[in-house]
Amino acid sequence: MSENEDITFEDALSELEDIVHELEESGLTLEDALLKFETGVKLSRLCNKELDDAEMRIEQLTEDGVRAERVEIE
Amino acid sequence: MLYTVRELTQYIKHRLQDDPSLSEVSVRGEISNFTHHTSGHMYFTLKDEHSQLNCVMFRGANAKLKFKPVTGMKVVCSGDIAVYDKRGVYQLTVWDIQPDGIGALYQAFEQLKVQLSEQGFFDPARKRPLPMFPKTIGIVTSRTGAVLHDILNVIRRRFPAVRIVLAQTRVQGEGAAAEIAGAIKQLNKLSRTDPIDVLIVARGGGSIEELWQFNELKVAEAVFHSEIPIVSAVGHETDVTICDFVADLRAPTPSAAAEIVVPDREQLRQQIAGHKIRLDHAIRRTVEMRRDRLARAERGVVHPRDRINQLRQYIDELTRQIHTTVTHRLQLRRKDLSMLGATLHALSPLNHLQRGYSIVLRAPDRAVVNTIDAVTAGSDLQILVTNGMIGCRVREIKEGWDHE
Repeated sequence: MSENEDITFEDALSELEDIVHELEESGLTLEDALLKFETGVKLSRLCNKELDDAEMRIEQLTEDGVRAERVEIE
Repeated sequence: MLYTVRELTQYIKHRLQDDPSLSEVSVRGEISNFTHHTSGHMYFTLKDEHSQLNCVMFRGANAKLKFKPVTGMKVVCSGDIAVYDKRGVYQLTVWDIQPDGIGALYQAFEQLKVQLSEQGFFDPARKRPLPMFPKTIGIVTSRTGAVLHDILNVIRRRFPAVRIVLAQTRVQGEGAAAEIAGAIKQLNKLSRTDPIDVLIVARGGGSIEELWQFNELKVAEAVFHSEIPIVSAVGHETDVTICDFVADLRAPTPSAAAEIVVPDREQLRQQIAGHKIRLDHAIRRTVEMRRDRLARAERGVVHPRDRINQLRQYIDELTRQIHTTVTHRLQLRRKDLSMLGATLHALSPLNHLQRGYSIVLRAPDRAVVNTIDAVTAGSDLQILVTNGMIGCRVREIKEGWDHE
């Protein structure tokens, strides 16, 4: 995993899936397996955080159609 | 009575045109000889099995038609009977045409569908997959009404981790199509600098007239040219619009569109939890496998210190064993010895001497004398008794013991 915290949810999830598969294949050295495991745990935490954190944000296209501005809609 | 042609024609014209039963009439028939003149006017004949009626529909009137009349179409024309002086013919001046049997809008819908289909607007190969996890969702709909509310509710419930960009438009009535098309274009334009991952074009259920704006070519073209994938959700499940056909995906309802566009957070949570469990399991298994292997390997390899200790122990054992053996042997020997001593004692000639026997030795060589052959008369003998020796000389020799 790149140390980049800006990894998208989609990328994080698919990387997590890859790691699960790699670990289950068990062709890794112990050292690699532990590293992968650590990364996997980090990714799952990151994914959950993405899911928990976010609040829906609503914007509306401005009259001239060039920008979107934040609005409150119930 | 003598008329000029013009006078008679004028008379007939007034008779016909003043007759209320010949104005605002509706005539059912089949269109034939249809021509749409460059002037914009339409000329055709309305006929049935027995008769024909010339018809003209002027530009102003036919511009409002939702569909294009064609030869062979069964229609109901509304208009007034008029006379065309120059050719001395009467004709129906048509104000409106309704397809006979099926509605005008339906007719128009079918026609546009065919046209766009031929132009590849509905080509399945053009349909793009929707993003799995959209970050920004554009919504084209009316700000008032339940539709927006429904969509936002579903998104909020399922996957609130998104940004919504709303482009509000009217969704019915003249001009709404232009607004919808415009909104789609604007969102596309915005998306070039501020990416929008997917668009929802939505409207609640309604009659075909109310949904009509979504059947306009303008909307179809805007959807067709959108760089952002579009989910169309116009009307209820049973309603279909041209917009639905052109879009990358048609959702049965606006709420369904929202469900299609965003993933389900709870499901994702479970999925992630599942991955986490598999991770834990896999790493535990990996470590255990290594541990087992190590244990197996360790059984084969002995540490040098262990080996030394083992040797030491072995030596100790050996020493102990030797000690035991030697002791045992010594004891055995001791026993042998004492037994030998006893035997020796038993065998000692002294015992015999004490019991009265004596040992006779020949004097010079101390050979035991046990037969008469060992001595001659005059030989010196020594007789051993318990406490000493008696020297003597042989006087006579006789064979056998019975001599008196």
